[in-house]
Amino acid sequence: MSGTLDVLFAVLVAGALTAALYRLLRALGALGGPEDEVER
Amino acid sequence: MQHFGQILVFASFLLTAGTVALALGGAARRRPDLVRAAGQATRAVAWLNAAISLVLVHAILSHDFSNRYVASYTDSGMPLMYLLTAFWGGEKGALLFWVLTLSLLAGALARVRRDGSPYTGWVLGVTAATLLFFDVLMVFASSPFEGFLTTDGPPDGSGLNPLLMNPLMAVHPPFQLAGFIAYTIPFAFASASLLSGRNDAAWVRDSRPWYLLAWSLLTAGLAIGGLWAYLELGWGGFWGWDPVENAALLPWLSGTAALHTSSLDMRRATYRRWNLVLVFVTFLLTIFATFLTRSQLIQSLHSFSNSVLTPFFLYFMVVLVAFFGLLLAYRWRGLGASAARLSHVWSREGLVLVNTLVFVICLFIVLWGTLLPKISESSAVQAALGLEQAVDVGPEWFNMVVAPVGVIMVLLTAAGPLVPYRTGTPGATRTLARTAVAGLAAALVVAILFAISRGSLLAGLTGEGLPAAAWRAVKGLALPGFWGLLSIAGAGWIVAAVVTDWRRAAATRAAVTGERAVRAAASLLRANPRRFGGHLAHLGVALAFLGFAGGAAKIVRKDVVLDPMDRLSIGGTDLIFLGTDERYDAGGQYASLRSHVLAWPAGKALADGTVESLVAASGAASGKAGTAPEVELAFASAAAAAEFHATAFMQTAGQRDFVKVLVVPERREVQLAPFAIETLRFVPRSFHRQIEEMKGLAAATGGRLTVTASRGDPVITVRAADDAMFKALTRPSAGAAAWAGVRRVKDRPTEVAVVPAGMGMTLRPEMRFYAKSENPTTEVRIDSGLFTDLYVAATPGEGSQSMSLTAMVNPLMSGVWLGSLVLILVTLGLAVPVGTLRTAPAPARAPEGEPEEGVAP
Repeated sequence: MSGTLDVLFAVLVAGALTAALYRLLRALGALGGPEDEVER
Repeated sequence: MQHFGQILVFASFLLTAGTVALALGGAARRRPDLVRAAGQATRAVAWLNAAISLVLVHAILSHDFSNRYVASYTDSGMPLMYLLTAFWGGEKGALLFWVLTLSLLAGALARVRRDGSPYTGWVLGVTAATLLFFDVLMVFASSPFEGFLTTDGPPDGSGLNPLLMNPLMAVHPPFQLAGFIAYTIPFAFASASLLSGRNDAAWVRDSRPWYLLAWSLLTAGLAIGGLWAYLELGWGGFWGWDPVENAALLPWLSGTAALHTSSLDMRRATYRRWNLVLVFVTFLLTIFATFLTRSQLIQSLHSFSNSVLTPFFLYFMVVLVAFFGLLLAYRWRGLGASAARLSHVWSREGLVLVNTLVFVICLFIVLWGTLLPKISESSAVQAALGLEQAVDVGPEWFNMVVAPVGVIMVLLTAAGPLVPYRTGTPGATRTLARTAVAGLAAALVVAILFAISRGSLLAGLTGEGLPAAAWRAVKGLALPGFWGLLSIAGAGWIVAAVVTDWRRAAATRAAVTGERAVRAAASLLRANPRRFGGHLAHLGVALAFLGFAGGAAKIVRKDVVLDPMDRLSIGGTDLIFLGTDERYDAGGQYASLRSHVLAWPAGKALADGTVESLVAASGAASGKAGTAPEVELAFASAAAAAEFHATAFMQTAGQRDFVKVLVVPERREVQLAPFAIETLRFVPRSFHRQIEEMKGLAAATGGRLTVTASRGDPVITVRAADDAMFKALTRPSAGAAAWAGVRRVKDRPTEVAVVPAGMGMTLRPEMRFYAKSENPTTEVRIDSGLFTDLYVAATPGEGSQSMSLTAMVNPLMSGVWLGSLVLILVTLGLAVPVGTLRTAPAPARAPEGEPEEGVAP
């Protein structure tokens, strides 16, 4: 039971961190970029 | 795992700081790329904080007691729902909840506002800066990921405060907190508007859905808190004017005022300054409420002890006031110049201004009453005010002072929507008068109904004539009754006003579109949600005020000590205390001392044939109806009566309280053990109470039973003096017993009075004693109806088997909950669809200053 819980939360935390990392990269990518490229 | 959590918290702090720099820098230097990067970073922060929260939830669910927070607020026996509650149950978790919610809201905001404008930059910057403040607290003062220095933590945690182990308490804090937190977004929009030098109402429109969401959540938080207090705290009310309750009410008051001024700002470009100030004050008060909860300033059920955060909140408030004050001062002139002037006091604008003033006055009253007891502790203040000692401001003071203000509010609620913009017309005045008459008529009807029903109750008790008794009942209400009646008039007026306006508008629409009237009324809501949603919300207000008015007519019987089979009469109901029993709940780890209280409509007779069937079941010689629902059975001899008493007792109280462990016929002996042995550990005087109960039976049998209690094992030995009594004692009950309670009739040894089983309704209020808490809780029982609630709470009394009962009849209580529900759902409904439209270009609207379609004919 506790093993399942650990795996579930490991996946959830990893997912959230990946999303955060993706957004961070998008933020860095937006820096200095021309307006039109962002969000297209 | 603590290190991992801590690292993520620190990363989140750094990332938020970076976001603040990007957003403010981008806004100040008008760089869309920076603002867009800030938007992405805001969303990154939201995900990161979600990850942090998941780590804490995992620690809670997996009982990781090496985490200090987990060890302090949970234990291994807690059910799942309360484990999740522990996330925000302590200060550190509440802080993380704050950070999580704010960053999720900010992330959603960044998602819908991607235009890269400086204005958006300011909005994101101010939001992220607020978030940064809470991040600082979490990183440097109060992290939920602290471990233990020298050990791996205790084997089990301390558990949650049992008062909070209630499904309502599981949801009250997140709603309340989320309501507080969501007010950050309107504040950010207001700041952004000032920072970017715009003097228009764009910020009001942009922040409207967030605003409605925040208001809805805060209202839900207050309502759920009130419901919990009503059900759990055992004093029969829902609002005790506790300092922290008041602190939470303050932002609600300014927020409600702002809700109205902002409509006007959007529609008529008035109250631009008022609006900014009110939105700021609301946000400031959410921080103030949080500060008050954590400070040691006040003694309250809600306060977190030993908080290290107090000074931080104080500094933050100072910074906020300085920031917004300077900003406002800088833009003050321009704002005034851009706003439309009030053309006539007798207009919608005029009434909204009055409404705002009333809310502000109410805010100051509540603030004054909350802080005065504390302020007046200072000797300088005492000297200045001429006081001899610190002032104690109780609920009575609040009720007295707030009631008239509330009545003005409800009257304004009715009148406001009927008065057109700019200036009132004679037609509008006529409509007002007509609907007001409808409200007064409603109040009159209620007053007459009340006088008749309460008067006939009084007349029944005192024997005087109905008119005199009715007049006495009305007079007994005094001032609260007057305010209550005015509230009912106001509520009736609101309903009449809403129906009139809606019907008129629907008729106009139906004439144009050819729709049926009902359909036209429904499509109006879709076409103009602000106006007709507002109407719906006002109906919620009307319901709530009916509930408040009912409070004036409530009947209270407090702390009446009753022995088994004693009765208490309240509001046309006889409550018969049948006795107690004790149970143990292994899941919740508590023992409960339950009182069995039979509610019987006063004066109602028993069904035909009840007496005869009881005579047959008991073997009595004859029987007659006593004070219903009792039946008095007469036996051939006193000995037979005593034997029946023993049998009936063993089949009612005996079965509830004891388990027969051993029957020894040769010694005519029965050994009894408590029904739930665990209760002996928790319930004070538990065994003593049970011994007394059996000794009471022994006395009632005239000494034909002797009772001894073993000192070692909790066993009570009952020995019968003769075979007949032994037989009576051990007679098995055939299926369900025929009686619910039994007592001897005074001075008539051959008679026994019984309450037949299955009569009326039995309420079972409890006292709960928890394994992990020293403080027992009261679990009240309420027979809840649309028009009236019967409320019963019980605590152990002075005597050995007595209980102290508090009973109340609360009229119209359901109005408070139904009204709150309407308000919450309506504002939520108004917030959500607009929120999804935010990315689309602003819908075409009538230019500011245009008059709204006529409300008056």
